[in-house]
Amino acid sequence: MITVKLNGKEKQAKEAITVAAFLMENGIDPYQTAAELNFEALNPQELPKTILKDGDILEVLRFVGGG
Amino acid sequence: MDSFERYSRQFMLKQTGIEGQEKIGQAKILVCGAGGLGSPVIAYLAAAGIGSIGICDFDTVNLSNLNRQFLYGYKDIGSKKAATAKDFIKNLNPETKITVFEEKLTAGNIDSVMKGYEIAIDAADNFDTRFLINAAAYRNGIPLISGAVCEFEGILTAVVPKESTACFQCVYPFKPADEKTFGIFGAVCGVIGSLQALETLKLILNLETLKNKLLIYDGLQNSFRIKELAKRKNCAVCG
Ligand SMILES: [Zn+2]
Repeated sequence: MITVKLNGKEKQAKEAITVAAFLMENGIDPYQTAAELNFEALNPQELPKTILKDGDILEVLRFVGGG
Repeated sequence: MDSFERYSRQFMLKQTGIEGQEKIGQAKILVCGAGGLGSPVIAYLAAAGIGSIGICDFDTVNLSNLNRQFLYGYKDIGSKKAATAKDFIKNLNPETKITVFEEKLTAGNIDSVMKGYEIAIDAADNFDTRFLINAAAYRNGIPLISGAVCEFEGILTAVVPKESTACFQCVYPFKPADEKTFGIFGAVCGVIGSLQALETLKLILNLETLKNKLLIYDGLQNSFRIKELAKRKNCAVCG
């Protein structure tokens, strides 16, 4: 297991999980979410390809762009 | 002194006074988008006595707009939004000068549309237009009050280029992979649009605004929280 900090809260996840899968496990739709891994913004297309490591810090914000 | 009575409840605020109301009366504000957010923004700014408002929207009114876009009524279906909004404001406050822009905002026209305005308001309905407005405001040194909604959520921030604050693309460096039409109650647009109007008035009055701060509203939880923003070193717009 690895520990990832998601919006400031520590969460457990299995090894070699992608950002997209980790978000889905935590009830967040990865396709509607802007993500920042260790303070670097991730391109939405990278979320299903990026593997999380123990101690990673993930900050997410839902895409809110309607008017 | 018709206007003294009209604005009497604003004069009573120590943050406004006669001097503040004069600033409001001289202000020139550009509102990009006359939809769900633009409706409360335009109505409250005109009601507050903003001297000049530019309304930018190329769209026409349709029936599904009317749950939230209260500048328009049933008889306006099919009419241009910007011109119809102007008619609404003429009745609400004839002292406010309205300029209508009915072209779609593009990289080619946005600088000339923004010219002469002292604050821009982002009330657009998609990320491409938001990125365009944010970049143009930054390039032209025009403060931007950016607000957005989706379902029960809303966000709001103030971007002040001359103070080198974080911009909208510092919040969202990338746009979503795809943008779907989402559900919304007009009341949620009302919350964020009203706050955009208030931030604009506060900026005019030199009061503290949401610079380097992102207000995040959740209408289901009844929560407002503030996330501190920092300029991104590699921001495509302000970095
Ligand atoms: Zn930026």
